[in-house]
Amino acid sequence: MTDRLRVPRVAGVVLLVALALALPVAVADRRFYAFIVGITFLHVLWTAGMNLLSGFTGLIPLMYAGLAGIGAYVTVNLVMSAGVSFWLAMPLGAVAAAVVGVVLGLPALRLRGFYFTLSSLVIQSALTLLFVYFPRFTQGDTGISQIPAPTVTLPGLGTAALTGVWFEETLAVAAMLAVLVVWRVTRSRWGAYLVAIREDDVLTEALGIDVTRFRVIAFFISSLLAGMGGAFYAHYVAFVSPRSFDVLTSLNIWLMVAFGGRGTIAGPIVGAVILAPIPYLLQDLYLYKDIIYGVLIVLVTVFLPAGVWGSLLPRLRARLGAAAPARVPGKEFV
Amino acid sequence: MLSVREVTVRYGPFLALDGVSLEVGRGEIVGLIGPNGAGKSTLLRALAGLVTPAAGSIALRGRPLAGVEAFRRVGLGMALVPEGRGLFPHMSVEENLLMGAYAVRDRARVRENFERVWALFPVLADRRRQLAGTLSGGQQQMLAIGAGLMSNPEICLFDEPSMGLAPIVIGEIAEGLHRLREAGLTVLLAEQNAKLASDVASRIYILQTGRIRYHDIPENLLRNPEVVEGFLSVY
Repeated sequence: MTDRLRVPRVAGVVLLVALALALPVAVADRRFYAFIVGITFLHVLWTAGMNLLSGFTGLIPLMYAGLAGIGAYVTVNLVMSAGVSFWLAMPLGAVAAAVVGVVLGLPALRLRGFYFTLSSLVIQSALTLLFVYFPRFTQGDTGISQIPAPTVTLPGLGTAALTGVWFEETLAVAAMLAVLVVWRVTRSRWGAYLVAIREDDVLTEALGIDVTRFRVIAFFISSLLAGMGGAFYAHYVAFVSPRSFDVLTSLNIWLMVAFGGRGTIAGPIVGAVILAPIPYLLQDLYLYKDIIYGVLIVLVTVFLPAGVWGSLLPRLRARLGAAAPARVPGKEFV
Repeated sequence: MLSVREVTVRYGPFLALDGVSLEVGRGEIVGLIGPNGAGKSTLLRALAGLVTPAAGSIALRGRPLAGVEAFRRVGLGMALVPEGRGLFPHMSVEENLLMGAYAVRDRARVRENFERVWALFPVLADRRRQLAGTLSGGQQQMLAIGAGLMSNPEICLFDEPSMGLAPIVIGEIAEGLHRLREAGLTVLLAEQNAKLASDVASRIYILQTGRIRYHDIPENLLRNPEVVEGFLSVY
C-alpha cells in the first residue's frame, strides 16, 4: 500500500459511512424512498458475501438466495412460532444457513469453475422446492406475511418496535459490518490464499495449500452473510415467499458484484447502489424497466469489463500516481 | 528417496503412462526426457498427487503415497514446479514466494527460505515488490522454482523449466540447478531440452508414449546412436 492513496482512501471511507448513516434520515418522511434505501443496504450486505466467493475465491454460488432463504425461514419461525427474540434468532438463522450451505456445498466445493456453478444451480433448485413443499415452515407459495418488526429494549425507556428510519439505520450498520468482515478477511493471509485459489487452484494445491479447506471457510462466511441478509430482509419487508429466494435473486446479486467490480471491496457496493434501486425507481416505466436494466449491464460488460469500480480503480490509481495494486482480478466480466 | 513402481495412468480410454518404474536417490538430479506427449508431465502430476494412477505405487522415503492428497505431499517434502511458469501473475514476487511457504509454520524458517531463494536467484531479490506477470520469462521460471523451494522440500519435481526460454536464459536456469544439487536437494527434472537434462542430471530416463525406453547415465546415452538419432537430435 502506498502512502499516497492513504488519505483519499480514509477520506472516502469516512464520507461513505457518513453518507450511509445520513441518507435514511434525509429521506425519513418519504417512506417509498426510505424503503429503497433500506433495500439497497440489504443488497450491499448480500453482495459483500457474494463477492467473497465469486470475486475473491472464483466460485459463483447460485444457491446464494436459497441460503438467504434458510436464514430467513429459520429466523421467522423462531420469532413467530417459538417467540424467540429477533436478535437471537437472526444469528441462529445465519449460522443455520452457513451450516446447511457447507453441508450441501461440500461435494460441490471439490469442483471448480463452471462445474461448481452448475451444481450450485441444482442445490438452489432443490432449496426452492424445499421452501415450496414444506409449508409447515414456509406456508409454501402463499408466503409468510405480517412478519413483525424486531423489538428493541432500552434500559429505562421500555420496549419499542424497530421501525422506520431506525430499521434503515440498522441495515446500514449491518451492511457496513458485512463489508468490514469481507475487507478484513481478504486483506489477511487467508485472503491471499483465496485469491491464489481463484487465479490457479491446481498450482495452489501443488504449492501445498489445502484448497478445499479455504473454499469451505470462504463458503461458510459467505453463507453466513447470505443468511443474515435473509433474516433482515424477512423482517424488513415483512413478507417472504419461496420466490423471494429463487435463482433469479442469486443471479441478481451476482450481477451486482460483477457490474460494480468483482474482487474489489468498493465494487459490489457500487453495483448494489446502482442496480438495487432500479426496479423500484422505474416502476412507472414497467414496460422499459427490464430493457434499461439490460442495456446498462450490456454497456458495462462491453466498455468496463472489470465492472464499474474495477475498471475505474486502476485509472484512479494511475492518476494519483500510485503503484499498480497486487491481487486485482483479471479483465473478464465474470 | 523416491520410488515409482509400475505406475499406470489413464485419461479415459487413453493410456498416458504404461507401467512406469523409476528410482531417484537422495541428493541426485535425475532427468526425464522425451518428446511432447510422452507422459512426462503426467508422471510428475501423478507423483504430486494431482492425478490418480490406475495402477502401481509411489513411495517417498519408503512411505507409500496412495491416497495422500496433493497438498499434504508438499508437507511430506515433495514440491512440484508445474509446467509453464507456475505462478500468480497478479501477485508480487514476494507474495508468490509466500504462497509456496504455506506448509512452513515457523516464521524464522520462512525468512530463512526467503534468503535462500534470494541467494539462488539474486535478480528476484531486486524485484521483490514487482508483479510476477511483469517479469521476463526466465525470471518467471526462477520465481516458480523459488516458490517450490519455499516449502523446504527434500525432493523437487521440475516440469520443463526451459520451456520457451532463450538459450542464454536456459544457461542461468542450469546454473541454478547445479547450485541446488550442491545444496543437497534431490531433483526429478522433466525436460524436452535434452542438452539441459544431460548437462545437470547424473542419470536419465527416456520416456516415449508412456513407457520408459532407456535408462542410463548421460555419457552412455550420448554414445548410443539409436538414442541420439531418436531423442537427442537437438544435441
